[in-house]
Amino acid sequence: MMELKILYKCECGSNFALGDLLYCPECKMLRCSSCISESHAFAYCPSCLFEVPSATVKAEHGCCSRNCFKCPICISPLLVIANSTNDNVPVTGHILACVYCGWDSNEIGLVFERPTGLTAQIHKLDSDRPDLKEFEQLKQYYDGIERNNRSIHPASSNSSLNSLFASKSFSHLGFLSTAMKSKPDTTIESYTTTLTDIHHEWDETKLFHELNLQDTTTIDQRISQSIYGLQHTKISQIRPLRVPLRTRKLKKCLHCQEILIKPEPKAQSYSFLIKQIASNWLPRYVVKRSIELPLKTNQVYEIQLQLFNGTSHDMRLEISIVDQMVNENHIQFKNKNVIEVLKNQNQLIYMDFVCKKIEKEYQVMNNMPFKFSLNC
Amino acid sequence: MSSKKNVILKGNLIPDEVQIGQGNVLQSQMVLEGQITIGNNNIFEDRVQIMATTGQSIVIGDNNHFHTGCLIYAKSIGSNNDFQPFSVVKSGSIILNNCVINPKCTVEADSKLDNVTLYNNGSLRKTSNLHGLLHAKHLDYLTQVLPKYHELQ
Repeated sequence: MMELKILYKCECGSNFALGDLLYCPECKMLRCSSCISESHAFAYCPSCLFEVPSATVKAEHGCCSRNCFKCPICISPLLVIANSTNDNVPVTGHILACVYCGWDSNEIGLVFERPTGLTAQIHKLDSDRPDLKEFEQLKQYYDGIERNNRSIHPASSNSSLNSLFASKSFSHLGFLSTAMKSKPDTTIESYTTTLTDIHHEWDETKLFHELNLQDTTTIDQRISQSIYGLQHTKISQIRPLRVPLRTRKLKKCLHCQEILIKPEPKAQSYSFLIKQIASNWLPRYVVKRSIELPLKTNQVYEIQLQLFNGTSHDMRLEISIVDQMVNENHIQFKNKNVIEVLKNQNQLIYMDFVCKKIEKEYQVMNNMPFKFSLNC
Repeated sequence: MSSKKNVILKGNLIPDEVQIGQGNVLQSQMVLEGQITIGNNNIFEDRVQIMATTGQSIVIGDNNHFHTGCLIYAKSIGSNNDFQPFSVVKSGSIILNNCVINPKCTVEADSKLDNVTLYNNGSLRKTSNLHGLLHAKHLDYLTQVLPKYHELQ
């Protein structure tokens, strides 16, 4: 018995299952994933479920700024516990400990003064790093130069379109305005570094003899440390990983910008303030009795469909069979029948048709030689 | 702190070949088969199975914690080990001291482990220094609370 799939046609022409479609009440059209625009509603940490404002998201590089960390060895969540090996010894600080593999931050010599604000305490460790200081100085230097250029030549702003037309490939086409045609001063003084110890001499033989494979980090572990700008080669040096934030999506109709999906602004709940899904507006069809393959010409086949109206209003449906497909947009129907289905009610539909012509000897599951259309 | 008397709940069939030390806690539905020597201050939770293969004996040391459902067929087990729920130790293995076998992990046959944590069913790392700090407290609590709510053998 061939398994029939019931697909719904979106306005763009593609067919989707009912669960994959949204409905725009303004346009009164079905919308698929290609006909909607998505944006971020809000960001939250999957570990502590706290919402994070958008300014903090950018400042913290998309990671949680509270006490959420993952184990660098086994990527399971870390707990903040008191650093005491014995009940009789007073608590000297707090450490991050992994329940799964037993790693704790004592192994890297990281003991926190307070159990809160651990991210800030880790940042303090990097306050004396010369490479970070150098990077900050570089950024400030070139930011200053850009600010000066902008104040001198306000027309050559940061607009990407202007910069595109100002490039060499387009300049001969005459798109530039007269103000922009005067070239800005391109003589920029090069930055002079304040670092003294830049060049390192590597002694390969010594490094090889000191190599301990048990203590060497993997490529994945080194990549995960990139958030700190580090690439430690030893496991005794790698830091706990920060938890990346997640977002909930806001979906809008591309044509009229009507909000179709709007989640509730709480990370703990999965409910929606606005939920315009197609199943709230359209009936659901279930195939009760399918047909047997291969199809034979001049034989009557019967398909039994169950129509379920799961919406909150009664429906009046017009059901017809595709008689002739002149082209994709011009379809002629025949045998129109009108049925009424009350809300939360089922209705069985029996459809008989005669297979007139088999186009292919071998029929693929999704590529049927006949179609019938149900119009609501 | 630890009681010298064993706390053995009703429902455990302990054969005569099994020798148990002092201060142990044996919870219900345990399976002990073969020649087994158990040391002092161990905690055995529900449905722990310790089975010695024919002709061999199992020696278990002190201060071990066998969680629910773990299967032990090892040759010998030292002290201060922690066998998490449904862990399996296959025959011929020697578990020395301070080992932690994570839940549902399997120690392969004829292997030898000492001071390691087995996690992710194959990965090994050195056991944390924080391991085993609460064993004495846990044992003390069980010896006081279990007799109040369960029948003893």
